[in-house]
Amino acid sequence: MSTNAPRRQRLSSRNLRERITGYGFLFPDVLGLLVFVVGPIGFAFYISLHSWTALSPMRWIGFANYTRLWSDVRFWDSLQITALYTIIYVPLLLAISLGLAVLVNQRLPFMPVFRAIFFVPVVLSLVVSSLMWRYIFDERIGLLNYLIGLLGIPPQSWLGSVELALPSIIVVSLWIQMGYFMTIFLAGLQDIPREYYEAAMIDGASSSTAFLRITLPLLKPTTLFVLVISLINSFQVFDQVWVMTRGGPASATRVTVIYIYQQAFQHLNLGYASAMAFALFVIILVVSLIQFRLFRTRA
Amino acid sequence: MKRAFTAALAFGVLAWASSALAQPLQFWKFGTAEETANIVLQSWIDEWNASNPDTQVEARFIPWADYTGPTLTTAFAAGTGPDIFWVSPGLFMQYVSNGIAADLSDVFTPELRADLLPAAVEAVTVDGVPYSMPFEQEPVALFYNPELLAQVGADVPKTWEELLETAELLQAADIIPIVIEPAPGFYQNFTWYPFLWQAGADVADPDLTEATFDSPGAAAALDLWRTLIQEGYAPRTAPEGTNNVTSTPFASGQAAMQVVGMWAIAPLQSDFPELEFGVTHLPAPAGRDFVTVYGGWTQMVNARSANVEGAKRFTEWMWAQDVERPLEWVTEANTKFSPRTSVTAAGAEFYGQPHLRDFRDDILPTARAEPRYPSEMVLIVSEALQASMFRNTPGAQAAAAAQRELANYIRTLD
Repeated sequence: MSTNAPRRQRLSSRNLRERITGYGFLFPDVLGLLVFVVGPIGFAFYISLHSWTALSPMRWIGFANYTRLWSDVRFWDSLQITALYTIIYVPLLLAISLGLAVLVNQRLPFMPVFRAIFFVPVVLSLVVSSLMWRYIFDERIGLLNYLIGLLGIPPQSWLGSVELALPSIIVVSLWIQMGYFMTIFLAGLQDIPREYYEAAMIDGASSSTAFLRITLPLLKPTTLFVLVISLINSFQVFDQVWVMTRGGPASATRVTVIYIYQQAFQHLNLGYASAMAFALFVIILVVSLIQFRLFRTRA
Repeated sequence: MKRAFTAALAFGVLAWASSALAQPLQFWKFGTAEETANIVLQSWIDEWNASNPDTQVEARFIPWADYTGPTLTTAFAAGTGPDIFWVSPGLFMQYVSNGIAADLSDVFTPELRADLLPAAVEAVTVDGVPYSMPFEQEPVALFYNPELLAQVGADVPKTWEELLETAELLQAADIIPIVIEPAPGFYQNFTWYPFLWQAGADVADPDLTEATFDSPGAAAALDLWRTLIQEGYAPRTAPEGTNNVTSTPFASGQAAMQVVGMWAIAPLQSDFPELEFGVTHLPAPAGRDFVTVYGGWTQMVNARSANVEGAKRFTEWMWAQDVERPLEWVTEANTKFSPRTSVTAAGAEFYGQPHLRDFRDDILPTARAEPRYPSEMVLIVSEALQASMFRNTPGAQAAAAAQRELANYIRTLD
């Protein structure tokens, strides 16, 4: 008893020091999170309970902004467009970035060069990329219409057509993001031990069987990460839409964040815009939790 | 003790007041410091500062998208809004109804009122009080390329019917018939309002007590722009906006006509000296009078400024005293009209030049001020126009849907 007590005390004090050190390291991050993330979210919720034009004092209106949200056809339309964007964009992004990752994971010459090429759009600013694509899509002088013209296809108004504008923006988003997620998948692929594939080959498995039975299951954590992040990105899409179409033509590309921006800074309805932003936050949170739950269940 | 405290308090208040007055007045405007117009403004500010050491002014030029987007809003929200700033008709009422705009009655002297065009004063007046200083007018017109029209044997269209007939001929000759603004927003509405007015229609009554959009005239005006887009007579996109005329196919000689404002003259002449162009009325429905719109920014003083009087004096000095500065603004820094008759008279020689003469003699007399509708109304009209143009919604249907929304919105006013 008597010999053990000081030892436990010594261990406790070391434990305490370690804990203090740990919290010390965590403190700046937690502080940043509180000030720059939790604080603004809380403040956005507070604003959402007010009528506020930014030019006048806030007026408490309770949940009136949320009631208005419920009956605002434009908000629901914008959510529908965002959902459509997400449904097309996320699976395509997953497929393309995984496909590219598998390609550049081959032990062939010049692979680092190809990896770099695919990654280049990620380092460009979203606005620069969007401006560049706006010219590529131009119906009169655009490169794309020139190329399809060589195939005998008549020129299209890629950004001026209700049917084509959203798909065109999705193409740009894919082009911008695929390099980043390719890198994430590549890291996941390189973590899979080669012995698994060698064993599968010995057992006579084809490449596609190895991909389906080894690669995909072992990439599940990576896929979950890509899925959650790309889904959040897709719900928050703004820059490329604003630069290329401003939500037009005829509101065909007015995603939710564009509508929030318009309400906040064109109509100066900051309280209502905050209510929409908060609603979008809840939607993203719920969808992300569902994804985690689904993956955990399947795992 | 009490006396000492009072003295200290008075000293503190005095020190605070003098430090507030010593702060330079903040003058905010869109654009970059390198633009010709802003270089001129900066030279005026330097001149003012040299002779007014107690009321210095500091200019801040803000990129267009930020100025018309979040910058002003967030600055006012944070209590750091500028002392003097420019405001568009679309946001004018927001600043007035929220108490940001200072009463400029003492700047609008009887002499100035007599010099200003009545419509210009009316456009900045609410309940008899002027809240902003008008200093420019930019009417919208039809710019045309006589060479391209001659290629198809067409005259400049004067009516909507002629416009569509000419467009058909031009399209058949592989010429872009006309450029109109395709992107939704304030500018598109601004350039479409003349077509609405020419058809005898309007968005609402002048006092904004009743929506009047559901009318045959509004439906016809919507249908005209619908036809221009749906028949492929006008491009569906404009990467840099059609207000930037140098980026449009009209400037490059590929389009025969464009709906654009007076500001387009100078860049067309300087950047495209080979381009031959003319300026005329926007086509009107047969038997109707020509009507157009003029836009223009106005200068507001922040009622919450620490030095409202200094900001007013500066505004008065810029635009309401001499003729030289307003004249330099409209004839050298830009190509515009002044709402002051004395300035226009002093620029008689300048306005006697080709194109400008057409604007002065023909187009300006038919121009109405840009309406100062709240942004919610702008959005409703914009959606009706966009639906007609890009979803091929018949004008009558789009106008009826917009009418319901406008009526609901107008009920929420007051």
